[in-house]
Amino acid sequence: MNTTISKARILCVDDDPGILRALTWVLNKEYQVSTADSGEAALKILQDQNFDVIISDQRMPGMMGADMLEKVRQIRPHAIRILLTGYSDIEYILDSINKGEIFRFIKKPWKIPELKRIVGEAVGIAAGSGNAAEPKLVNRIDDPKILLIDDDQEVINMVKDIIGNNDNLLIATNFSEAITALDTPEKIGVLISDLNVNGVDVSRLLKILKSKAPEIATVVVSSRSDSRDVIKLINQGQIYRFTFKPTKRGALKLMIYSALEKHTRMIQEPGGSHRHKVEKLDKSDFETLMVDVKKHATKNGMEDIPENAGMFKRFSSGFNRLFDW
Amino acid sequence: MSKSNVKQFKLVNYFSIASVGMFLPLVIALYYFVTQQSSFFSQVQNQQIRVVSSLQNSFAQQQEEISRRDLLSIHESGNVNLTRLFANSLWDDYMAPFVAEVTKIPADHCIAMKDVERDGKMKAPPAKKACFNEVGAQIQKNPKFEEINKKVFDSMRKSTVFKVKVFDLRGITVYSSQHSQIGDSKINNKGWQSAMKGIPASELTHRDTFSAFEGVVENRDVISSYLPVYQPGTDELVGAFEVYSDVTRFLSQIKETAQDIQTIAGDNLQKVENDAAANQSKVESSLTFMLMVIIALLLILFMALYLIIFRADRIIKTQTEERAKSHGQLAQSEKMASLGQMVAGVAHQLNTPIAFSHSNITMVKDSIRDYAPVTKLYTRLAEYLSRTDKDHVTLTMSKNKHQLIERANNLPEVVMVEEMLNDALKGLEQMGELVDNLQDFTRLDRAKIDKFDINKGIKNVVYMAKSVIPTGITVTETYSELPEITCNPSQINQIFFNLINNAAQSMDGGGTIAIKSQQAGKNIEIKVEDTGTGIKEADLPHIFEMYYTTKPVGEGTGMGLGIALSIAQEHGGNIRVDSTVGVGTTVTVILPIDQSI
Repeated sequence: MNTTISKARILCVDDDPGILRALTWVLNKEYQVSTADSGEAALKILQDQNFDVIISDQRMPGMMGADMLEKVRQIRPHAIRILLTGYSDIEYILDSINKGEIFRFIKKPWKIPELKRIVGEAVGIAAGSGNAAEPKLVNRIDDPKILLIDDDQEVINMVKDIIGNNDNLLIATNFSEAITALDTPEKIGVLISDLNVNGVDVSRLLKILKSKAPEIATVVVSSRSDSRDVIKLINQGQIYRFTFKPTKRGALKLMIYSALEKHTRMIQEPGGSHRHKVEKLDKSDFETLMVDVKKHATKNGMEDIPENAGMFKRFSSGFNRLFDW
Repeated sequence: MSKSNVKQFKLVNYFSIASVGMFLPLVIALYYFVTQQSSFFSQVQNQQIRVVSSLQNSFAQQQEEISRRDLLSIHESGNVNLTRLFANSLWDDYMAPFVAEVTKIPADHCIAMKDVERDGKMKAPPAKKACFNEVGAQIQKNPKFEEINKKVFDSMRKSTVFKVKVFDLRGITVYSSQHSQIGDSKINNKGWQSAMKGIPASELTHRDTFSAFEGVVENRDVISSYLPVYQPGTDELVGAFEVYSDVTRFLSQIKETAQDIQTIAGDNLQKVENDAAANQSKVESSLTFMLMVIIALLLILFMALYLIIFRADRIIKTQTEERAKSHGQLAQSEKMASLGQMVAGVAHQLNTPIAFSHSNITMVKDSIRDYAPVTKLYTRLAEYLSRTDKDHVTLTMSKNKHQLIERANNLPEVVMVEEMLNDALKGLEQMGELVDNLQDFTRLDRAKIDKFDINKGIKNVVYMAKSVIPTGITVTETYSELPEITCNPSQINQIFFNLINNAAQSMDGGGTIAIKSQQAGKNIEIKVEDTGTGIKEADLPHIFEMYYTTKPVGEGTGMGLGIALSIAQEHGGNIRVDSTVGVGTTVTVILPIDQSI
């Protein structure tokens, strides 16, 4: 059997030999596994060899995992990056999003089936075929719009200032407006959003939107968050950038422009958006989201019956389209 | 505990002493000014009294003098008229021939006789007097004398004229109503000399006895006037009269008036003095009242301030207590925060051995089923072998052959399984070590004061700290042999944990922390050197202050070094900090080997 030739190549990076050995034992039956005990060593190996998937620890002596993955992004852009770490400090997680642009964040200790599933998915995406069906690209229209979901006037002004207050910028300051705007996802190229607008959790919207329209690049501008939520946002929402409030204009501008560029790349490259396939939203999250949608749609409809008679209908139809699994 | 020796500022005491020290001189100064003012007022009043009195006196005096002068001039003019009258009526018929005759009586020899000095005055000697008496006697012998004398006495009777004298141009008294005086020379008399120049001269004198026309009178004020006598109808001076007129009644009236004025003046003065005394007492009582009011106000002010200060003191005391309490709570929460940070670090570090041990054991567990057929096969084979004494058996595996080969391919090698389990064991050991270190670090299960090997403590702290500080930082440890010291190990651990954390935070992810321990005389010295940013000179004096921090909000409470110092001081030691900006910081912890705590 000439399995070695067709086996996908995986590079594991960790400073602990125990971890490297354990990963090898788990994966080497199906894949060709190489190991490196530091970020520097990994980069050296990557100079000469190509890998489909790179699994890295975050906290290592010398170079940090996210920093190493940032460099990997440049020299081996097609390698799918996975972070496997026991440390969940929020700054590390943000680094892994903004610098490493990782595919998945896996916490130590891992569960073998889960690890195998994620690595399998990653390998599938890297090979370009994938073991899941490629999602249909929504029929894109040219000139993508930027949707801002936030009730923070400071951020609204900053975004207006960066993009210019024109037709390309849609602003939703509450949950209902956000739902209405997301009704036509094919128009949206970049989504800028807080995780909580007027007391309603909109992170679930981001996740669902990404599963339906993966070519949208999401920038999260959050006032607060804990590491568990952010890890979920990586794995279920594939957020492109994450920053905390108060954000600086320059930093936000950079994020928005790079998101626009990312969006363009995802449309143009075949399978580009597929590289950002998300995990399914938790069932409980989905259920609470539907409750919120109904509540806000009713409330809104009751308030504005004269002008927005078709509002609820529009909500329902839009959502049915959006959430039609 | 050396910190509690700091002297407390006793607000109320200091306030009382200071305000008494202020108010007392104030009251004394006020009292001084009040007395000054009252004595000044009394001086002014006395002066006024003196002025009034001298004014009144001089007025009375002037009034009397003027009265006397008026009296004199009135009487003089009266006498002049009298003399005219007298001369007109007597001179031509009686006096002129008489004077013409008696002038012929020689007197020059008498005049020529020298005066002698007696009692400081030039007086005529007895011989000269006798000479003049002789002249007088000759004059009286003149036959016309008696007639003239009679005429004179008749004219003057019942008048206020007491005496009339007539002098010739030589100054010889040719007639006097007092006969004994006839013949006397008036040559040296100023009145006579004045009359000779044509100017009348008068003089007011008091006489105890006086020979008047009516006889001798007593106690009289008289005006004597020397009056020139002219030849009637001409300006030719022919002699001089001397007329004595009595003014006793007028003068006594003047004196009475003066007395009245004096009395009135005295009354006025008394009134002024009384008023002055009244004013003085009024002023004094008002000043005293003012002083009392000011003192009372000062007392009220003092009481009010005292109340405020007293309350403030109470509030400050409670605040101090509260601050001490909250300081303690903050120190505790700081300790909890660093402990929490470390627990998080350790928890994360535990995840690594847990991860691979868990993974390995799961794999072994999953594969162990694959060994079951092998064991079964081996057991079967052993069974067959035990039943026969031949050295070979034949097994027909046609049914299971394929399955068997496939299984063998999947079957993990025993060596690999062993390695997996070995790794899992090592993982467990790592976890055990971590837990041991965690226990050593917190020392929750040991007595608070203990003989303690500082080196062992530092090793433990470094082990724990490594799980928290960035991985780019290298920690080097150099230990010299140290005697065990009596201390609170958990607190000592906290010192080094804080110091290593500070060092790590100053290095921005990369650098070296060098830890050295050594014995220096009676002390143990532990140095924590870093290659960080260093401490600015401006910050250096404040680094031990509680809540002083240059770190951004949320990255430090500013209590780390303060707590470290207070722990070192509680152990009788100290902390020294040397720092160069851009090079790094060396913190030296000094702990005495022998200490009494």
